[in-house]
Amino acid sequence: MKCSISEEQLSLYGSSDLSAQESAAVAEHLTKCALCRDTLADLQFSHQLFAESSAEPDCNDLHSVRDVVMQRLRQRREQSRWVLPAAIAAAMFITVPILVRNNIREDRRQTMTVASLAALPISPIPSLDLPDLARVNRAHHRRPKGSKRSSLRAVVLSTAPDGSSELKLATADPNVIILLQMDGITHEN
Amino acid sequence: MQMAIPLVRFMFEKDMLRRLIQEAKAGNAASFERVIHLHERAVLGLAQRILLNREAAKDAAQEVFIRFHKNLSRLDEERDLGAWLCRATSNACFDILRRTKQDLPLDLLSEPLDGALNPEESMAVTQQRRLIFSALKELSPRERQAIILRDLEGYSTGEVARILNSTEGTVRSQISTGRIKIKNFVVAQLGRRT
Repeated sequence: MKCSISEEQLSLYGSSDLSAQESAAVAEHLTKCALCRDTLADLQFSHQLFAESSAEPDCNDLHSVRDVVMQRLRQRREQSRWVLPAAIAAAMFITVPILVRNNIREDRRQTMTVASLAALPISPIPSLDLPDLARVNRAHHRRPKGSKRSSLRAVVLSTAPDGSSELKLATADPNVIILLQMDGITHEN
Repeated sequence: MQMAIPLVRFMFEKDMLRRLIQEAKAGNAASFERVIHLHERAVLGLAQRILLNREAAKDAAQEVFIRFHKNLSRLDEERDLGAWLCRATSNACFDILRRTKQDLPLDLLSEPLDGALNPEESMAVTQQRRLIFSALKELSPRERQAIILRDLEGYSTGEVARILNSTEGTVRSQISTGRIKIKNFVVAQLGRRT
């Protein structure tokens, strides 16, 4: 005859893991089934052995754990005392040479740009598609109807009494502005 | 009046623990050491029962207290520290069991036994432990954790589910399977009770 009570239910019987209805059903079944009573006796015996076998920790082990934890925390505290100064020193060690080298490069680049622009022949300048100076005297000039949009826009910044003037050329690239002077060309990036 | 004494003692211990945690949060190492002292037996005992290996249990307990110190600033003093430590211990043991490729040796069998026992009784206790520890090795890590928390540490199934971050149904199944596996192992070694 097959039992209506499973081994799982027997293992949970008496440990408040079954509902009241299930517990009552198991209790009733146990009065009739010797096989389940034996299984329950085996479960209770092994549970008793299990509960008795529990070993308490040794005092030396408890001391050892506490000592190691406190030692590790002390080491961590010591290390953290040096972390910030060491991090600052390391950051300075890395960034200062880079900044110095970049400054030197920037100086060289600027010098080279000016030098190369100064070496430009005058001839390319008139060939630029520039609007008439008279028409771009105001900052907010209107583009004549039908004219194509130039990649260069020019604005007169200042006109000296000796007739020399300074032109600002805005290019298609908003980062590139060319300043034109009577006595030379400078290129700002 | 006699009934009030345990309650007063409990309140005193709770207040004392809260004060010690506050001091530890403020950086007082002695207070932190005192908190460890109050909980080390429970933490190491649980780790030993789950791992069945003294050195591995010590490693787990140390890890738990280091983690506890790291989380100290975020710890709510009103919450049950015991449950937090139990969960942390359980997790640390689970990590060790998962990491360990081979079975950890059962070195807890050499633990000095109660001096009141005569040599025959001591031998019987050692054999009993060997039997149960071997049976526990048949369980999966989760089954082992669940049955130890339920049957040895005295947590309810719901509390075990919270500690193991699982559901009550899953834990109930793990406890049931664990009990049956231990029973089968004991029956295979010692025979049936009837």
